[in-house]
Amino acid sequence: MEKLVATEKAIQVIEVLKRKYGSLLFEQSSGCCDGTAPMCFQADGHYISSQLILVGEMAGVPYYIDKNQNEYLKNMQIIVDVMDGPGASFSLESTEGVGFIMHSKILE
Amino acid sequence: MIYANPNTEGSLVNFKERYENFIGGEWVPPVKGQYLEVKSPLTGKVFTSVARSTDEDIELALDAAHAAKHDWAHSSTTTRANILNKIANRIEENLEMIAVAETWDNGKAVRETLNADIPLVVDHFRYFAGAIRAQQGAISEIDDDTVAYHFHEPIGVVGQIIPWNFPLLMAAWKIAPALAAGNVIVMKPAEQTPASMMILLELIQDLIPKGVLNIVNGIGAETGKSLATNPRINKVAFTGSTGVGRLIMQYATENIIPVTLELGGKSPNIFFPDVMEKDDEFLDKAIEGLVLFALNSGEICTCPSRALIHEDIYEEFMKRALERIKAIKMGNPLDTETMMGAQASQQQLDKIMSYMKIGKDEGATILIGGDQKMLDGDLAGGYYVSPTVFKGSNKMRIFQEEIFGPVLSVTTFKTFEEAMEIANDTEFGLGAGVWSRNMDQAYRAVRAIQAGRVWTNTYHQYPAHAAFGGYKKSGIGRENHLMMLEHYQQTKCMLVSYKQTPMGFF
Repeated sequence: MEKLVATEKAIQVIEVLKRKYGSLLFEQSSGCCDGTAPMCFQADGHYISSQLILVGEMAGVPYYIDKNQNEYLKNMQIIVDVMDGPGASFSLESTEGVGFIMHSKILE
Repeated sequence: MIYANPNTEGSLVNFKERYENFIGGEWVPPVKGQYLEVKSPLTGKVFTSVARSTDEDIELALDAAHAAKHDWAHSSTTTRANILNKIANRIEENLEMIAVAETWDNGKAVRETLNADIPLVVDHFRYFAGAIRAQQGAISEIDDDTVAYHFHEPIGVVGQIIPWNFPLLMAAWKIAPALAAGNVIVMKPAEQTPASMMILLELIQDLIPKGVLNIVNGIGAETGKSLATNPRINKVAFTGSTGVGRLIMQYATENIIPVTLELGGKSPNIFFPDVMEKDDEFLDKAIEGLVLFALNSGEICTCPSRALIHEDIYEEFMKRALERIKAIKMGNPLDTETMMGAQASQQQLDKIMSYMKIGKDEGATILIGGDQKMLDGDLAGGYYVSPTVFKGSNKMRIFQEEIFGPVLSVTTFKTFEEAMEIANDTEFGLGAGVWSRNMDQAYRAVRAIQAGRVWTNTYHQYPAHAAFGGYKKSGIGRENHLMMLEHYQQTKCMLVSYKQTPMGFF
């Protein structure tokens, strides 16, 4: 099993965002109203913390999670999907009226 | 009683079809003419729309703020305090109407907005009205001839970005100290819940000098980013997730400005065995303390979402707690008898429901709830979740991630040390609860827990004058207390020599 997968719908949204905003990256957020959510940002000018771990790529876009989060997610597959309605507020897909969501499965 | 739905006969509140931005004391349409629809979580139906603002609108708001900056900063603390008190009075006079508006916008039960949210808003303005008048600078006498005078000066123009779980209370937590300290504000409310703020502004706009408080609506990735990266703000205050918090800090490095952040939590609520030594009011209070995970439909960063119960009392304590949870009355959030209302959005409902599956997949046991609650009539399209309790272990996602819903994860402990280890095994450090009849034990637990607010034999109280803020990844700064004033102030040191002779270097 791959560590990181994206649903067809998620890939479609990523492609739209790439055309609109250029080079992208994902950081997995946590807490408060946005919760544990994949956040999509413009890569240009974005500082990638040394505390982040690259877990894979989706449609050529890197996906980072925090080392602490990786501790309890290391045996999990991360599945990025899309739900209707705006997602995490600073994440780019919210401008398209949709939201990325992270599902997980125990890695076999 | 049941309050009538807004915009229906007999309602206390009528929302306009559309709200513009509030800039320079005027209602100003967004430059690009775009708007966002706002849905009520009670029904899932659109009830108004607000501006979807862009860079141009943020510039307009900053023009207004900068024009107002000098006069406000130089107004007397008495003038500012009087205005804050007038705002408080006006809100108090209209408390019921505002409470209904807040419930309609956010979904929470009206008994909470009537008895907690809005009274706390009123009190917060009064608290900072008092605090700013009582604040003093400091004088350091360096030697006989040299004195350092320390003055508090406003930071200037502050950008504030707030979340959707307490739309008006989070606004008050940011607006009151910033205005008291002499700053002017550009604020972006959450795009999920911007409407109650519009009602509030209409009510208090005549009390605030033009340009001192500017409210610009829009999406975080557009309006929020535009505000937080703008070189014309002198400070940014944010409440929300760690991901955005980190982003806000990055933006702040561009302009070297201070930030205050209130981020997530996964608060442990610890029940030591002595709570069950007697069957009395204290035990009753402790059981209520566990059930408080359902307050505000669980959408609170300090939600006591991890209950740690000593194994000796677990069975009996949980049995009684589950009875209490079963008695939580769900229904129309505008009914004063309703104990738990709606979740704030469809997206939040979807996320919470996804955790029901996550918990089960990870092997946790559902003790109660676990399902979406379907209501009838008007409310059929709303976002309701039954209060849910999982039993599991602290390494599970449902114990590590903030669900922001009425979902409690319960586990047991054997020793004090184990309780502390589980309590601190989280990336967050916002809130915690400790329940014990033995105050020596409680004291040691409180000091061992890495969190900014540890409620002791109580939970979910938010009085002004009790500092609130996070350790670890839960943020920077302390709100709800006069120490927040200094987060909105610069220190000017005037160093004076009263000596009549040269230093002698040249």
